[in-house]
Formats: sequence, structure tokens, C-alpha cells
Amino acid sequence: MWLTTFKQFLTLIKKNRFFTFVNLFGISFTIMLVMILQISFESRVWPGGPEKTADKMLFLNRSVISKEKSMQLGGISNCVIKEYILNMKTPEKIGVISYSQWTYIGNNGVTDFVVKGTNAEFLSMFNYKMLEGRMYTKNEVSQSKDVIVINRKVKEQFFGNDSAVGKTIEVQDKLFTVVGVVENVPVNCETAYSDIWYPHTLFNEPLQLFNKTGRWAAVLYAANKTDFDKIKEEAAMIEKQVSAKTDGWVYKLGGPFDVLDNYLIGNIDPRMYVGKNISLLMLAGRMFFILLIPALSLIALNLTRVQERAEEIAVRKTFGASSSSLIRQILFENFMLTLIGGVIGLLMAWISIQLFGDFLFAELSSPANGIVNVTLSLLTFLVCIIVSFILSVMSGIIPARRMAKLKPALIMKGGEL
Amino acid sequence: MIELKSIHKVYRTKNIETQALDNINLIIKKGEFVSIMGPSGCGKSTLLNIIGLIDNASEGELTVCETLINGQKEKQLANFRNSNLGFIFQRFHLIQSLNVIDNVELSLMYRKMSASERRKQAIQTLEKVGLLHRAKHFPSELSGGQCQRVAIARAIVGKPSIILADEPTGNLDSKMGEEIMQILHNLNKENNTTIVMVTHDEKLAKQTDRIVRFFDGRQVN
Repeated sequence: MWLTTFKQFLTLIKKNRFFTFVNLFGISFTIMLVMILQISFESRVWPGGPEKTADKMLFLNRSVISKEKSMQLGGISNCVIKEYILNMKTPEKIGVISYSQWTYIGNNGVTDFVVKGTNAEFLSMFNYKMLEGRMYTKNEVSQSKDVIVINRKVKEQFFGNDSAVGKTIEVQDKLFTVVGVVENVPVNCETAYSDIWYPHTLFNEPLQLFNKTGRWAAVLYAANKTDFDKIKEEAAMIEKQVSAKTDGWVYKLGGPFDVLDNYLIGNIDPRMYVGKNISLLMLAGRMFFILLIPALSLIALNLTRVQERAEEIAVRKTFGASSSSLIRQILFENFMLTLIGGVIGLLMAWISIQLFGDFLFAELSSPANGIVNVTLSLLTFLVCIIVSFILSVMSGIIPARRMAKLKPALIMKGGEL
Repeated sequence: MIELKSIHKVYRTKNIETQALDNINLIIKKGEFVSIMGPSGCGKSTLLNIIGLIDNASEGELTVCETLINGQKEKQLANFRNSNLGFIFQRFHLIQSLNVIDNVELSLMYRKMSASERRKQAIQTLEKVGLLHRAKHFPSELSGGQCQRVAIARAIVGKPSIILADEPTGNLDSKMGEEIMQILHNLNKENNTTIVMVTHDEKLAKQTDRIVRFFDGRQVN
């Protein structure tokens, strides 16, 4: 039966080219928008590249310190990182990051570099592709050696095609020796991304007070995902211990969050985070609203076809089709059309991202413009099919029910039956 | 086979009430070929719709194939139509987006039957009406007579015990009309199929076992 229905569907779309074109245009454009959101969501949560192992990581990016009506929201202070985070027991590896930005004034003008002060463990957590040399070691970090690792872009800017290892770069009146060069990191690998990495001990920052936020972050790498809860418990203990040292302030760490939570929380106050399920539900709700307006237009378009197909529906009912089988048939046809629109929409989304990726990921690639690692995963296809299905049901169910309610006797009256 | 007891049909709109059928009592026996005649608007269409279970009577009792139809649900009626009734219309009502063989298979699609079995029965039926060579054609590529033969094949492929024909020759020239009548007579004689046919043509009606005449919603003979 479905094969015949499919053949009929093909004949119908060939016969009603204008309707098919208008319908497909609406569907593909809508699905393109949804798929751009989906692809950008996936490429930020699971960017791949050096962050391939991110599902074993928990991220600590923020801290909130509050007392009555006062509140500070920012990165983590260096004292909490050095006295507590680096001493955590459960994570297999603890990576720390001190964020900053270097401005280089050279012959070709001013260049801003994203730089990260890290420990050696941080570099070993990510799958950086080493082009030459090596990463800096634990000893070099503890001895505050003036060594750096740079990406290919920086190497080419300073040394062209020559080898960079052993050579020095002068930034802000200080000379640094390059020990390694890595492949450029896609900008959507937000944590792993940098132009230059240096030992976090290089600059002798005075320790901050416990009731201050800072510009540090940490990545906790678990040997096993089952350790996540234990790590979170340990972090909760740290919050209590730090709070006890702050003279009435309440200290909260933003996290530790896994990759998905880390994306969903965005830049909001971590205390306001409603959790994964509700956040995903809210995302789905937003998607539903995006679909609602085109669905209404498609309903109107499909309703115009009710009259056109009235005779066919009447004949089918006369020969024994029940209302439910007719609804199934019409929804199936609508789903097939939506699925074709979905595939076109997905292709359009893919092309748009290739063409306008920089614009879509603007806040990630600033200040350094870089490549974006975007892949189409099985999840993308699955979401495409699910969205197509939802759109087809939303736009098809009312016309289908209207068709199934048609009274054959009334329609056949033209035939004097 | 078909029994109508005190059937009334009233069409109501906001201001007007139209009595389409008024106290119809009729029995049609198994294997009978009955013609229904009368002027336009006399209620013969309504009667055929009610017998065909695609319209409800306002009052009265209808029994088809020893089954009391009153009170049956929509799905039960659909199944009943599918198993017991075949329809032939004056204007053929073939589905334009399906080819001939798919049109013929239509009623079998709503039965539990394998695709190959369905196809086999459709081919046999098309052979019977002499249109197997047109199986892959679309209705728009056929003549009126050929369309009606496809419609007959669609009506009989499921081997219904009753065929309801609405002026089956109304849109055809006399030669084609005779051919169609011949097919109906053969069905009636060979398969003992009960046929109820609405017609305006006295000559065709006289070829059937019995003529039931209607006027203003009433049976007049």
C-alpha cells in the first residue's frame, strides 16, 4: 500500500509543480534555519578536533561571590585555582588556564593574539596536532621558563616557512623561546583554542583575596565519566571551604559542568542554571516556535488542496478507506514532501555555514579570525528527520483531518449518485 | 440481501427542510438486477447513497447482507463497504494520479492482502474487462468507455456481493453503453452478483429483472 501511496505522491508532486515548489521552498527555508542552529549547537558542544575527548572533561569557568545584595560574577581567582583546584584528588588530570590577550606591534601593524597561560597537564588533555617541536613540560612550568607553544598561523607570521623551534619571539618587551608548533585550532574548540600557549607561572601574579573573582578557569579530566559525581562533590566541598575564608561571603563555583551543561549555561549566573533537561526543553521550545509560523503557512497551503483532492478522498472512502487510514496516507505524503524539503534545507544550511561560517561564529572567532570545525553528524541527520516529521505533522494534521471528514455522498452529488 | 424499512431522509438547512425520501420500503433479493428510475431530484441518488452506506437515513431501518446497518460505527461501515459493496459512477471517478492497475487495486488496498496477491487479482480483473494492455496508462489517456470499464474492474475486483451503479452508461455513446450493460449482465448471471442501477434510460431498465420507480421521494410502483 505504501509503495502505491509513494508512487501516487511522486505523480502528484510532478503534476502540481507550482504547489510543490512553493511548499518545498517554505519547508527547506525553515529547516535550513533550524539546521543552522542545530549544526552550530553541535559544533560548539562537540567540536571534535583537539577537543575530541571533551566528554571526559568537566569545566570550571566561573565563580560567583555574593553577600546580601552584593554580587560578583567572573572567572576564578588565582588563589582558588592554586590552593584548591590544583589540589583536587578525583580528576586524573587538572588543567588550568589563565586568559589574556597580547598585542603585537610589528612591521605589518598591530596584531591581537589569543594567549593562554596553562600548566603542562592542560596541553596533554587535548589532541593538538604537533607540527614541530614539543609541548612545554611540568618542570618548565614549575621553573617559570620563558617558553611558548605557538600555532601555525603565528609561526607563519613570524618565521614564514622556516622552522620556529628554538627561535624567539618578543612580545611586550619580553623574549620567549618557541618550543613547539601546533596546527591551528578551530575556533569552535573554545577551551583548547589559542594562538600562543605559555606556562601559567610566567607572570608572578600576587595571590588574590578569596572574596574576589579572577580570570582563571580549569578543566578537570576524569579517568572515567562515572567519576563526574565525585568530582562535583569535591568542588562543592571547595565552595564551602572558600566561603569559610571570605568573612560572610558565599562562594559558588560555576560548575564543574560537562560539555553540554557548559554550552547550555552560556554567560548566565551559574546559580540561575535550571539544569540540562529544562534547558534542552527550552531549546526545543524555541525550535517549536521557529517552526510554528511556517507550519501555519503550510497548513493554509495544504487546506487549499483539500478541495482539489476531495473527489479522490470521496472515492477512497467509498471503497472502504477509514478516516484513520486516510489521515495516515495524507500525513505520509506530507512527511515525504517535508523530508525532501528537509534534505534540501540541510544542504542549504551546510552551504550557508561554509559561506558565512565566520559570521555565524563571529563571537568565537573574535579577535582572531580562524577556521571553524563543522561536521555533519548522525545526530544532525536525526534532528533533520525529527524536525521534518514534526513540521509535517504540524502542517498536515489539520488538512488531513479536514479531508478525512469529507462526506463522499456530498462530493459525489455532482455525479448524481 | 438488501432491506429498507420505513426509510426517511430529510435534508435540513437553517430555513428549509427537504424531504428527499419518504417512507421507503424495499426488498432486493440476492442475485437480483434492479433498476431505479425517476426524474432528476426524485431521491434515487439519495437511496443509492443510503444503500451504499455513504449516507445515513434520517429514520428507518436498513439491512444489507443480513447485517443491520443502523448504529454501526464509521470504521465498521468502511470495512463493510470494502468487503460487500462495489460502486460504479456515471462520471467514473477514477483517481487521476493513479494508473489503471493502481485504480483497480484501490479497494484491495484496504484489505489485509499481500501486494503480489493484490496485483494478481487486479490483472485478472483487468483481463476480464479487456483492458490489461492499458494497465500502466493513466485515466487521462483513456476513452470514456475504457474509463468505465476500469471503474467496473475497480468495483468488482474485491468480489463484492452487491454492485451499486449510478447511471453507468450515462456518459457513453450507445455502443459503449451496450458493452457496459453486457458486462453488468454477465456479472449478474455468472457470479450471481446483486446489482442496483440508477438509470434514466427506459430501454436499459427493461433489460433488468425489476424496475423501481420514484417520484418526489416516494416509491410509486
